[in-house]
Amino acid sequence: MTNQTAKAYINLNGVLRCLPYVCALDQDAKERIQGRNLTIQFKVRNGPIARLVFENGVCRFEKGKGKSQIKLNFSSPEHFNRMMEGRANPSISKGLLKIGFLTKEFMQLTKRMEYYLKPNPALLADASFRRINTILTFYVAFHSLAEVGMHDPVGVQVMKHAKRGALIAAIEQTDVMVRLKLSPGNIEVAAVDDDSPVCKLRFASVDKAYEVLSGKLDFLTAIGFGDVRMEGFMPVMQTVEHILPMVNTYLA
Amino acid sequence: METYQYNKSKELFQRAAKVIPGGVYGHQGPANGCFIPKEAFPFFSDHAEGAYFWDVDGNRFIDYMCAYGPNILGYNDPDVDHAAMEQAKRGNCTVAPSSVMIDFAEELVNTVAMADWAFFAKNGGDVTSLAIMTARAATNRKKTILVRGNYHGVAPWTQGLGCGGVLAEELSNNLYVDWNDYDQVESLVKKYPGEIACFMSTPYWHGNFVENQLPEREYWQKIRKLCTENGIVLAIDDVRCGFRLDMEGSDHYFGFKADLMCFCKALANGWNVSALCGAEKLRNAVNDVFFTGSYWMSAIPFAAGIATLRKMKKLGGPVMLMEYGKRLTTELVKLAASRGFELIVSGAPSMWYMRIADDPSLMLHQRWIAECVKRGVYFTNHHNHFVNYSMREKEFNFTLEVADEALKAVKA
Repeated sequence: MTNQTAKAYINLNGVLRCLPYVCALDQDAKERIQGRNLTIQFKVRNGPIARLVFENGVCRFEKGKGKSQIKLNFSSPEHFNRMMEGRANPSISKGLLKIGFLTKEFMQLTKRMEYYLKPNPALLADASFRRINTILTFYVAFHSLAEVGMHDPVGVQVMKHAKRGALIAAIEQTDVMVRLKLSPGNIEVAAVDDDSPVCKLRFASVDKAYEVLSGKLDFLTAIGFGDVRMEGFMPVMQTVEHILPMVNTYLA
Repeated sequence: METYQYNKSKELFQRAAKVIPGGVYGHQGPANGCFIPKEAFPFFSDHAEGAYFWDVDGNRFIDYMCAYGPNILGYNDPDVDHAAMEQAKRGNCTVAPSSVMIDFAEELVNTVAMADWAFFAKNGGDVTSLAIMTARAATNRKKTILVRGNYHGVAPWTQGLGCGGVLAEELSNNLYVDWNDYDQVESLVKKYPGEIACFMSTPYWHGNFVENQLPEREYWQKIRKLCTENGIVLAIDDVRCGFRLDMEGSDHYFGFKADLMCFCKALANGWNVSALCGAEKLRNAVNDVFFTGSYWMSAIPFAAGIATLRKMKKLGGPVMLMEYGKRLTTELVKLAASRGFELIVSGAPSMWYMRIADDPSLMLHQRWIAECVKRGVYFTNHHNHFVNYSMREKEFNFTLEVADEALKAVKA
């Protein structure tokens, strides 16, 4: 069962947070943001606040409020979630004059994201498409995982008993990596060069990550095959393993 | 010393994964966390004898996991297996239970200090669940106090929120305390007067990934008194420790008397049987619980259990296991020190836990264990180990030789 507040956090801090990766990986998206310098703030009442910053051909995500050319407000987590499903519009408190960016470029960027994350199955036969699909899925899953741990009622209970330590999740042969920092009651995505990890979870390749993340190969069998490698302090990993299936429920 | 290869194990795992979820599921599966890196461990065994098992690639290992505990006398112990085979000729799973069930119950009642009766099942988890139900039936209360980090099986009530298939409702009557913290137990008893049916714990704290901890002085005596004064059933999960500390039960070893005791692992040297032993006052309560299974009265394991208990007693009980474990771990600590590592050993010597110090991620420890396994000494990363009666000087010396080679490999 999904919780609307948790879903809003996942939608913003897990899914939209990965728009910068779309802009970095997809040529079409990269071209669309060239020369566009502006910031969009998303503010959800009783929910998350974050900004997408477009600057010098690069997109980045920042949690919290700040100087923004466009401010989008949402009356509730449900309102934001409906917007993410294309069933509602935001309330624009600032930036009406820049609405063109929202309706054109930004919409196209989110469509590119959807193109990769909810793909036409035929496209997955193409290795380069599959690579981007896998990397984006990986980032969305592990960023969303932290939000589930902090905001889903069951996730919060699981996190209460979490052990302290950082976990690195990575895809070998690439620079794709997420570092999660856990402590009792807390899980967050941290900078990749933060403290030494106590635990590592590594997919052997993009193709193996694709098989696992798409559900074509189950996690346990993948470990047996050596397609997923784990080492270190397993109680941290076990917390992540308990939360990961909940992520699927929200992103399905 | 050459290191092992596991080509056939890998081939078989490919086959297994097609028809068995996860290839090998549960605690013996490669995803469980005790086999890191999994490349260092065999997936499948071929045969076993005494202190050893051989994998499907023909590699021989001294098994310091003792099949996760059941192998107490050594694999294929001739006396136990003879008793089992003789019983097999007479019958096993029959419409009326064999009278050997009575013999086994008598043997247990005569062995375990607190036992007035014995109730048989198959696995440790069967009898921990039966213990909780018996306590509820006896007290007409709902709640159970459990110690964080203890393992009592895989029934939903024993697992945590977030574990697949476990509902919050199934955990709603569990109350948790930290090990060795009497005040927390007392505080819960005061907070929920007349609501707590049972306090269940292992006799000492032998969790994974943590230094194992023996009970503090007077801990169990104070818990016993608190339970008695408040009508709470004191249940000891002796599944792992049973007969490895004391033939009369681990409560006896620590100087108190439990109301219920759960046994499994060492009970029949690998033949599948578990037992709940109880005090007379709980006989009616356990009778009120309907609890049974298709194979729970199979006679072969009962015969094996009798032979196992008798042979362990003949060998002088777990003194021999304690001595071997103490000697081995003392030498392992010295060996590690000589190579520049501090090895921390905890728990009872007959089932010790160890880890290399100053290694919070345990990755160094995992590398050392992996090097030991690849040379024929089967340790695991984060679980307590087990000693059995078939381990002698030959095994002792080989273990130290391998451990040293492995330390050198890690150091290199």
